[in-house]
Amino acid sequence: MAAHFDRAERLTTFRDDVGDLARVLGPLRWRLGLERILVFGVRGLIASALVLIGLLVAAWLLPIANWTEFVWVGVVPLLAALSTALLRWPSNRQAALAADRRLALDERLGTAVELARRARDAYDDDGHRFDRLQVRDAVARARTVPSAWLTLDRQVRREALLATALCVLAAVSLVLPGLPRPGLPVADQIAVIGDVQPSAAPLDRVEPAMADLTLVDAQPIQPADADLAARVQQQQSERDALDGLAQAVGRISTGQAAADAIQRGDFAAARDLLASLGEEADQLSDAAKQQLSRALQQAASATAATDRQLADRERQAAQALSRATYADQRQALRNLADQVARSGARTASADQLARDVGRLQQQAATSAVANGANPTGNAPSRAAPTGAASKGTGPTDPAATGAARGQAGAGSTGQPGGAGVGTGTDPNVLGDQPSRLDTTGQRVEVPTKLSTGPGVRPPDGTEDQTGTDPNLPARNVSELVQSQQTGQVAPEQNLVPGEQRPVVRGYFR
Amino acid sequence: MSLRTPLHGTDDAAAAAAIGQLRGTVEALEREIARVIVGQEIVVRGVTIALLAGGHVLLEGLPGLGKTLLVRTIAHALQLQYSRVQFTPDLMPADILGTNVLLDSAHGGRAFQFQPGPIFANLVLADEINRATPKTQSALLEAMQEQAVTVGTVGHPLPRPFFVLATQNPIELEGTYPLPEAELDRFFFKLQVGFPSRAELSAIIDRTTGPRVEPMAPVADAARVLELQELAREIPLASHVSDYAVRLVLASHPELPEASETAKRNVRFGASPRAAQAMIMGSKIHAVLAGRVNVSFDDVRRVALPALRHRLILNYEAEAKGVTADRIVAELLAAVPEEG
Repeated sequence: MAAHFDRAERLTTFRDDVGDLARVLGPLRWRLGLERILVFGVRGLIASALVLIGLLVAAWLLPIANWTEFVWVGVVPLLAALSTALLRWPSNRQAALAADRRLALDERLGTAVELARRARDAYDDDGHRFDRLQVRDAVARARTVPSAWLTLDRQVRREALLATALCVLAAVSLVLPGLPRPGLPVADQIAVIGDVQPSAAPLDRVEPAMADLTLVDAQPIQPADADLAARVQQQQSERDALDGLAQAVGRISTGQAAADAIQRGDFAAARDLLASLGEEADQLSDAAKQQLSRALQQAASATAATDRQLADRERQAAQALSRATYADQRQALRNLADQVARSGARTASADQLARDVGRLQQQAATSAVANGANPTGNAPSRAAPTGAASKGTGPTDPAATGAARGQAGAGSTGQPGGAGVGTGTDPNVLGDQPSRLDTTGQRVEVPTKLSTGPGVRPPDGTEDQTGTDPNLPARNVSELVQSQQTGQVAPEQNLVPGEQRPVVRGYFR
Repeated sequence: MSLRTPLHGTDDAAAAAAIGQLRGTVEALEREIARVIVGQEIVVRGVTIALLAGGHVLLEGLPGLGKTLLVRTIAHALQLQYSRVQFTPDLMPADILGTNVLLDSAHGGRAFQFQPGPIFANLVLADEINRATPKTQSALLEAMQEQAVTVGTVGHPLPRPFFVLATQNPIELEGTYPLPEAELDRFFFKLQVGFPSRAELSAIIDRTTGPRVEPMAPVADAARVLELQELAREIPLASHVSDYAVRLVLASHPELPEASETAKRNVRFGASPRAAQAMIMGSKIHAVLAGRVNVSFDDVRRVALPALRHRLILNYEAEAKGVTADRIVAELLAAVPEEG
């Protein structure tokens, strides 16, 4: 029996040895392939986690309503890495070289694989003189060397730790879109600055109105006036944007409370109510959703020029209400609520806005009076400021809100104008031009008493004109209008000699 | 048993026996040399590898370190025809190669007859080779490469195997002539013979001043050496190992894109293709002596230094800084990865 086996051993061929070599290399190939899958998988996992974290952070900072639709992008790197590992499944030669290196086989397996390939390519069953000996030596040595199942070097272990940490971070990041965003990110600050800077253009639109405020020979607008006008314009635009949103939300009954909160300036309550509206979005009828969507879209179009952030949120809410799912609708309305709170925080209160408008009109009026006082060095024939208010009988402008709306200038025809000015028939000017004063038969309102304001010393040196009392607080136009009392005189009365005019004589003696 | 026994039926067994015989011959040779030469194992191993690879060896070392004795011992152990040429400045090529002399024939006539020089031997010791003029040194070029000499118009083949083992003294620069690059390139290995250690020196004294040792036993003959040379050439070599030797040589050329940084800084001319041949052949024999039937990266690294050190021409900057060729080779080995 032993002789039989010995003969069988001798009759083995080089092909048998190559078969033994393949059997030795098989597990090594699997081992190396799995290691590659592991390494590529870890790296793909790192890339996927980074992509997912980036996506979630973007969805958090930027209002991406339908971010859940892009979550699959995070899986792409992992799948690509695994596919690459499978496509690069190790060959016999690669497995042999790796085994030679890791198991200290002194290039035995690599040489054996190459000898087997040469014999196969040359159709040589025996190979060269030492080929069989070498292949047998390689197989015997590979079978005796102990080897670990997986050989992970330090770098792979580090990458695995990094991948684990990033996966945890990515899992934590999943809650980011549900969290409130930071108060005012840098991007928003830049956006706000960008919104203010273009207000130089609205300033141009304000300047003609300022010009309307002036009398003849109006002085150029001072820089301080321009700043105030720009600020008033900006505040008014922001307020208008929120009012537009309030009107849009008020289109449906369930949004009426939020609309009221916006209009009365309670933006914290408005935010809560809008968020609540988002929570209950699934209870809205389709018709109500469509109506609210259209209204929000219109509001976004009207708001885009003044408050871009608010317009974006309105537009996203409109889109979400028109076609997206409940989660997106809730998220979009929540984003809109947060933006309302931010925009509201930036917006000045109604009182502050009214004060600013009043200051603006007061500055304009003061400038006009200064121009109308004595441009030629003679006593003016028109209205001039007085040092003290008197109780006149003329009608006053009750529309203080008109002044608050920035309707700089005089009142309408027949109504008394702003402080310290004579009013004519032209509502766009605050002082009558001489030609109009010369019109006989028309009634000209002449203030009989003016309140505080910059006075002009008469050229004769008398002290009839009093200056501004610095101790008195500034008063807006509406207050001035209410405090001023004007009398009406017939134009022909202005034609009598100066000493015979009761009012004028009283002023200039 | 002949090493060229037909390998039918028991091919692998015959191959294993041949490998065993090669290894046994080398071990026996080294053992016999060790009876005479104390220490110098690396030098002995290098000379043995070069002999089995059919290459020539340049031994560099101080006088009195046993260089000549080593060569003579190898010649005795391998039963090779041995000759020694002491190179001097007035040595002429004809003194080495031989010349045609006018001789009286038995029939009363006269005819030129070639009288072979000392180079016609299996093992030629060119002692202090750098003392001869370049003209005489160049007389060895054809012999070392072609294993034949040409005198006049007639070529004369040299006996096989043919080895040249040259020695040179590195410190005596007066009256010496540096070997030309072409001559250096023809040496398979350049081995440096170091000074013996304290124990080795004591052993040398004991052995040379005590009773004479028994004469060494021959371990092989010229025919066996030729068979072993043929056998060594058949050792399998993988392509990626061969590529490693090639990349080492290419990395030594500063003008090539594969050049290493150290070569760019210190080398004027890199190693020749003979360097790659020497590394591969030496690696094969080194692998067999290490018990393998294939060449590994480690084999290439082991023989890289003696195969490359005399083939690198350093530039002036390297010479000024005292950078040696050995250091450059070490940096090349560190810079070139095994798997490129």
